[in-house]
Amino acid sequence: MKNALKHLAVLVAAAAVLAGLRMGLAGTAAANREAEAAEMMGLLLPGSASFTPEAYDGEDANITAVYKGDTGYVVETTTAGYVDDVVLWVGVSNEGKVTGLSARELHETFGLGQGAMSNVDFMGQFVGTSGDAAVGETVDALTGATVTSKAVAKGVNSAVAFVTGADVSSSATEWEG
Amino acid sequence: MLNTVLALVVAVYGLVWVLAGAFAPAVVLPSMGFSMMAALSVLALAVESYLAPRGKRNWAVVAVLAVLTFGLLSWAAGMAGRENVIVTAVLGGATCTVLALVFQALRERMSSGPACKAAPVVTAGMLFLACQCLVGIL
Repeated sequence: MKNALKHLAVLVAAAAVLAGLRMGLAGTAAANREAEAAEMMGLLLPGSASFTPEAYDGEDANITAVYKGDTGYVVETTTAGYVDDVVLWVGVSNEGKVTGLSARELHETFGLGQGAMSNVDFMGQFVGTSGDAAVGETVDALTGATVTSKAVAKGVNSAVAFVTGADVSSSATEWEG
Repeated sequence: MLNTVLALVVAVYGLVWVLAGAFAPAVVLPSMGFSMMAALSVLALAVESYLAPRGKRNWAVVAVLAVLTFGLLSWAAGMAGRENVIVTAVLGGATCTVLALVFQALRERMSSGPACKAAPVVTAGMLFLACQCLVGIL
């Protein structure tokens, strides 16, 4: 019992240190997050210097955020993966071509689907596509991670559809009044 | 001893989580889900096996402290939101306790001959793979 109480005290102290550190670094974390987001969007959509968040009220449940740039959009998509949701940022030019993509949240199986995040060959296949990415047809799946691969493809296609007008209720459609 | 090692392991991961969130926001660390809880638990069990191979356990205390460890440290490091902290605590505590039971049974059966020294690491590896399979089934 005495040992358990001693352990509890250490636990509370460790939690206090962690919470204190987190609160102390909150400002730095927010600033770095903002800078990283701007840098990442610039990489995903070359030629765009500034990005404006746009409200999305379309019907595609995969689209969770939209940022408008000078040469296109960076679309945040959330699709169901094997273990958890896969959150992507997809850069799409005004012509409807994928210019880049990055996994923002991906918590798939270690050694299998989790590898999608850093697998340049796999992610690179989506660059240049125009909403026609189909696993097993135009895109090779990651070995042992078909569900994750399909989640990525679904997100990329949703992002392109937003820009090309497949989602007619969005503000990205050229012909919308 | 197990709970001390577990607290240390979870606290170190929490520290990495806080520092990565502040200075390397592009890094995507595994969230505190079942896989991560299992990984941290088997790591703690393997380390404990080398530090205190003959340690006795009070299973009730192990379970309660594991619940507190996962709940408190995950919340403090921001790995679990306020609304998820109880789920994280209970799931983490249950994961750690069940894994400790299975780990002990497996390790004792492997602890003979030349396999003795590697038994904790091999057992931890096997258990983690089993947990990965369980995630897939679920």
